[in-house]
Amino acid sequence: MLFLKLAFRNIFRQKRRSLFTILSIMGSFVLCSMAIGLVYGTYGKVIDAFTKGHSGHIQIHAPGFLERPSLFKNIKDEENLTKKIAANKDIISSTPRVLGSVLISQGEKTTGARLIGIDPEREARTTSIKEKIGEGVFLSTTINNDIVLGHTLAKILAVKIGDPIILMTQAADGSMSNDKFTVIGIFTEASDAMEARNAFVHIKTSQDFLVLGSRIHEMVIALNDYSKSTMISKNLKKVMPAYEVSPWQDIEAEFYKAMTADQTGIWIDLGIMLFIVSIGVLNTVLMTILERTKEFGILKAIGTRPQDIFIMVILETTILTFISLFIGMFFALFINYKLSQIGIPYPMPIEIGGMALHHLYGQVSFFNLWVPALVVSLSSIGVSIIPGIRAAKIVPVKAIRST
Amino acid sequence: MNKEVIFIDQMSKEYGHLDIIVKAVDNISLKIHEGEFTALVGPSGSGKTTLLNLMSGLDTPSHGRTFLAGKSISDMKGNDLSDYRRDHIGFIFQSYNLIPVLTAFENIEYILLLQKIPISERRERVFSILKDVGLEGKEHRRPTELSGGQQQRVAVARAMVSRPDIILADEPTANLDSHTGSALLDMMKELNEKKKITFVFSTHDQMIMDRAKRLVFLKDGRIDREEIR
Repeated sequence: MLFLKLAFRNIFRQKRRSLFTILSIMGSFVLCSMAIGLVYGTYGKVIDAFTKGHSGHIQIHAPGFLERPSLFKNIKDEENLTKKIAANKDIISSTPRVLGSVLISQGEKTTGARLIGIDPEREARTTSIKEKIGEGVFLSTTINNDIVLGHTLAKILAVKIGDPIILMTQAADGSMSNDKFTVIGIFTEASDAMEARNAFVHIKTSQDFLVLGSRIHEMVIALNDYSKSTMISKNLKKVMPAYEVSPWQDIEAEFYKAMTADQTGIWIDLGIMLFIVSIGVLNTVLMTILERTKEFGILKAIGTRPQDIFIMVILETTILTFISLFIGMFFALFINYKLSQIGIPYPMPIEIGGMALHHLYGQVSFFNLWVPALVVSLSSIGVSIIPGIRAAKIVPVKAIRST
Repeated sequence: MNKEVIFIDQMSKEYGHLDIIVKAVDNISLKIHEGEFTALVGPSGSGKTTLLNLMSGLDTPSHGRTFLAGKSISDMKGNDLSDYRRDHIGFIFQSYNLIPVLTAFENIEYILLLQKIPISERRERVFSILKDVGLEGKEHRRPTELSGGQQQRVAVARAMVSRPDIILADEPTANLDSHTGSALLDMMKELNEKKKITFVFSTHDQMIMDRAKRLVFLKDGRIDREEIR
């Protein structure tokens, strides 16, 4: 209590210097929080767009499908699977898909494409594919031969809304399957080139076309929070051990690797920033010790233990740090909130893992407050250890002689 | 003969390096007894302040030992030395050396807090000593709000409050005018006589010499002569 009182009074004794220290610690905290907020906020938006756009947060497949897709690696009991998925309260929705490779012809033009059979109603609840329709309409719940094409595919085939196209493939029973479909929609905002070559039909139509019965290839799951993907994947794996349950990080491994590599960069930047701030704090604390050499000498001479002098120095920096963090917290929250709303536009979009970044967005989260708070406190208090030891080791007789 | 408080045994303090060595204190042996009002007297450079610092353990001797209350403080280090100084020695410095951020009351209370004395006893002892040094009503003033004489009275009170075995005063009147200095010395003399507090001064102030019961004259780091009144 005595040293706390002394520490507080010493802080207010050198108001200008204390203010300078508070400003530098606070500044570094706000900058760290903002930088972390921008990285996680921007990636949060990208991940959201990426997963919502097509992949979902979790996918369930038959073993080996994700590594080497095959018409024959499929899921037989979709209904049972849906029931088990619905039992998890973190899951917003799920949708089944059938996947196959087809040849598409229009007149003399023929090209390869990926056929995706979807449940239009459940798909619209799980992903944003419906929202990407630029021309025409999305698939209806009616089972028919309507088809929606990616814009690249439509361009290759030179088809427009209402045009007939022919699909041809080898079905699951070994027979050659072909049928006529009508283009009812073209989606224009594909997140990547692969997706622009997709063709969507009703799931029942695809199951009939590929002679799969009620079997599906993929179950796509949307969560209320993408950060829970790994944890929920593990939980689902326990209740459905016969299947491969993969979080989006495994499904979109290339994008995830690019993103984590980019995130590592920010920690290096923060490290440099903290080093500069630490030097500033060290300088301020050292100046304080130097100015009060005589005072520390007196305190030691009248019986203050060296360890108590050390505690006194550390306490002063700790109090300054906490004051800085408390004030900085309000600034950080305000700036992060504003950045999460308006963002900072890039002069040119940057592509990471096939996703184009147009803006940097902030994020208001507990993570980007406690992490910089912890790092800034440790560096500020850490650098005061050396001056603290120096003050504790002061030789009273020499210190008292100093002016 | 009263109880022995300090015994300095063949103490030397040398400064310098290689061939150039200056002996600030040269093989001095000295005993201070309880209730003495002693002055170490001598010109500048005679070694009186160094001797005072060696007596208190603020400085380490090159040779010899200091025994305080029967214990050798020359062998003590770190927390042990700090604790021993806190409990057995009171200091009065030439330039008061009060803690600027603490009030007069808090400056005096500081050592009692280090000694973990309960609050009620602390308050009683601080108010009592403030009365002894004539600073009643000024307990809430910080050092900058007190005159030089008043600050030195606070320093005297701080030195006395822990009831040490001895109070060491390094030229306590040097920064005071003669009137204030004289009044302060009368007060210390009265405390010595009434409360049997042992004082050792380092000084060349005639006022202190006039009041001292024992004068130890130093010259070139050695005891030149002694005078007992």
